[in-house]
Amino acid sequence: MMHFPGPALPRRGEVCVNLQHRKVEAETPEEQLLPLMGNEAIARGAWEAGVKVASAYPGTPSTEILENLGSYPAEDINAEWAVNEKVAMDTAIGAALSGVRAITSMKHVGLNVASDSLMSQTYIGVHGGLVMIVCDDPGIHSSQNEQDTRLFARFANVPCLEPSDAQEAHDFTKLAFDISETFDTPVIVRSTTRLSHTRSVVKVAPRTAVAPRGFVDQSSKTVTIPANARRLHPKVLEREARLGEYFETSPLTRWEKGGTTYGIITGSTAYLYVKEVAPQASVLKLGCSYPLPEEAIRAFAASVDRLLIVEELEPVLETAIRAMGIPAEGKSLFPRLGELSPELVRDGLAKAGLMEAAPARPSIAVEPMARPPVLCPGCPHTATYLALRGQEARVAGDIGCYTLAAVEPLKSIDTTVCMGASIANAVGMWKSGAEKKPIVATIGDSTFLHSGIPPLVDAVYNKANITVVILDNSITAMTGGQDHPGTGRTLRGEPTHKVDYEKICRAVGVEWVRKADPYEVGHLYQTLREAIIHRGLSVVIAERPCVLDPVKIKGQPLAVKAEGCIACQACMNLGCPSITWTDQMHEGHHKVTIEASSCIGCTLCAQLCPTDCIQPVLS
Amino acid sequence: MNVALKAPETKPAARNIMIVGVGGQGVLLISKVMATLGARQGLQVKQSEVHGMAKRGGVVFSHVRIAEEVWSPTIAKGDVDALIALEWAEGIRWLDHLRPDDGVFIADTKRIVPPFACRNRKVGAALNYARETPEEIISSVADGFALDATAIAKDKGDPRAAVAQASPGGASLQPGRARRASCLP
Repeated sequence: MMHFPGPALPRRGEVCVNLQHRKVEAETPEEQLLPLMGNEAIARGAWEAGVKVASAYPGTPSTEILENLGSYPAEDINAEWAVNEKVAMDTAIGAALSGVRAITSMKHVGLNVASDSLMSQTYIGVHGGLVMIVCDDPGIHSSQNEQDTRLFARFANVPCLEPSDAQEAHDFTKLAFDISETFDTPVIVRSTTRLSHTRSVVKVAPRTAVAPRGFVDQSSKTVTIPANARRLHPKVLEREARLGEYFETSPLTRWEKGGTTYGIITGSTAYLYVKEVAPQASVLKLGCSYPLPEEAIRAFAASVDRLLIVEELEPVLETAIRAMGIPAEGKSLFPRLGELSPELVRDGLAKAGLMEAAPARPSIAVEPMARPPVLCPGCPHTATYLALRGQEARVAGDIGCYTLAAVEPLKSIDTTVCMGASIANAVGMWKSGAEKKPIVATIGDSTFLHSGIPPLVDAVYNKANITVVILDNSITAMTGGQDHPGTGRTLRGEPTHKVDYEKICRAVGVEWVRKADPYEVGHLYQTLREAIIHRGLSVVIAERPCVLDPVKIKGQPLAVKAEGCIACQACMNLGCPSITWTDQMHEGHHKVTIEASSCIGCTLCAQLCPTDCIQPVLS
Repeated sequence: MNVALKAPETKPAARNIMIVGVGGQGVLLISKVMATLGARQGLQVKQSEVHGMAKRGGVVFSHVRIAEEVWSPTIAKGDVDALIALEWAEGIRWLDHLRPDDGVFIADTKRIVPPFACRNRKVGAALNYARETPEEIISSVADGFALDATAIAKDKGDPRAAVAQASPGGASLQPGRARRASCLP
């Protein structure tokens, strides 16, 4: 196996990778202390490590990593948005094989998209360091599932580093590049929502430029034909063993000695909860969850009467440690679902009889009000789904802000699976022959570019009689307004080619393509009607920019003339956050009012009002 | 409406602060400012937030922990020293996170009524918004302030600066009790 000796890796005792045990102080003039979010710290660590290429597709909670990398000088880093996670991963792989340090970041489900590349790249290895930051979302704050990336690391035989706070996120990211080059492997640094979005003080350092190593001609390593792959696979297993050995003495593995009645093996943010709740406990903190330092674990287990494993989500450590023949308790005490917390760790330790349960608190008898997330005032998606609601269609949805139209009052999406699923889901509904309603797929512009084009080609090829609605708001809105190939701007705001969706549709063979402006509800409704009636594939491009990004749109607000309002609730059924009830009633129903400060004057409500009592505020 | 029923007493420095509100109000900005100020005092700081879906007019909350040593990024339920609410019903949502004996509740009485609260189409249906009055809430907590902070801030020139300007201790990180704002009775 091609092997480049990287910089000498730190051994235990040489560096303190976790600075929580001492007051964080800058020791040299170049070092600074900055309060950074986990994601900012990761970006900073990568920049300091001399990373040259960074590519990612946005996804909560990972988005800020690449955004921050894009704020470092362009001569240091080529940072760019990719159309999807696989393209980002392949870009990083190409850069690493060319001998520079490269990074890609993604949310947990993004790794599903990039996994095809990862599963082969793990055989090939790297020339320049290759680091993947994968951010899990325990508790499903903003995702479609809570899969555990540690299982993927095990599947792909790549090391999985697990920082617990922003300082470690910074330090581990830097170290990951050294590990990658030393062991000739891609490295996953796993974050979680709680780490990515927690700010704490980080000691930062200047950037160390890394000279490019250039591409090395060795096709037996970089071309995965079966003959080569068969030679590479055993080397992956050898690498796994050498990594396990390294983690035995690495500072990433830390034994914090305490009492001997019980000991806790933990890592990631779970470690912080353990320290909060049981500061005197013996702790083996694992900075890497795969491969495991088996000798260190055996020694630790032997030093305590009872071994507990505290880990978020799947019993990854617990299963591996039990497979080593070591009795351990984990998921019998701590939940396998959702985020951990100091409360849950304490509950688990109390259940184990090792700690008193938290004192019962007097409960306060107030029922919290439901406040689900909503589409913004003036959001063009509101109009599109309003028009769709009137079509009695079966609607396959996709991932984006518009998923919010799945609930009341718009309630016009029947399925949401994952990024780019809508069009092929609709094809399947049509092919089932069992669906009597017209079948519509709705997909946002960024999601269409991410993974909507191949299923559109498929829909044409397989003669599906469906309607596809491309919701073009000219931004990746859900994740906070990132550019993509349809905006005509790069990550750094430079102008670039702007994708033309109509031309794409026509090029792959869609004959019926129309554009409509969602703010003209009647026209949009009519266009959708015609699209559905059309036999064969039809595409409607609903075109209207997001009201938040890239610029916040604010037009002249509208107001309700209370005397004319008949409380029909037609405007309320938009779910617009600017429209609320007043205390005035009409025939037992609340009249409505419009909050002028948030109304952007999109006029949707005025278009629906049967009594014309919604009118502009005249200044 | 300004309500301050309990007299202030001396107590240890607030370490666990929770800031809550609705997407777009500035919860995260206030949290960032607090964390930065804490860090500048040479203390350990952890400030934790969850955004994403919350950005769209949903519930936003942030934990700020400032002390000599801070481990957990989140504050355990019942351990919040100060709960600062930029919106009335959001303050009520998190009341049970306050320390029962000495937690301080500071809330803007501003109401942001979500479309969800206006969902019932039956004849005579009531608005589904928090019905508790400021007096009821303030009398149920150890120490509390209900302020028309938006009006105060508007008076001072910028309605968006509401709780940060108007709340007693809302923007103060000094140990011990902050001075009361002059707007209080």
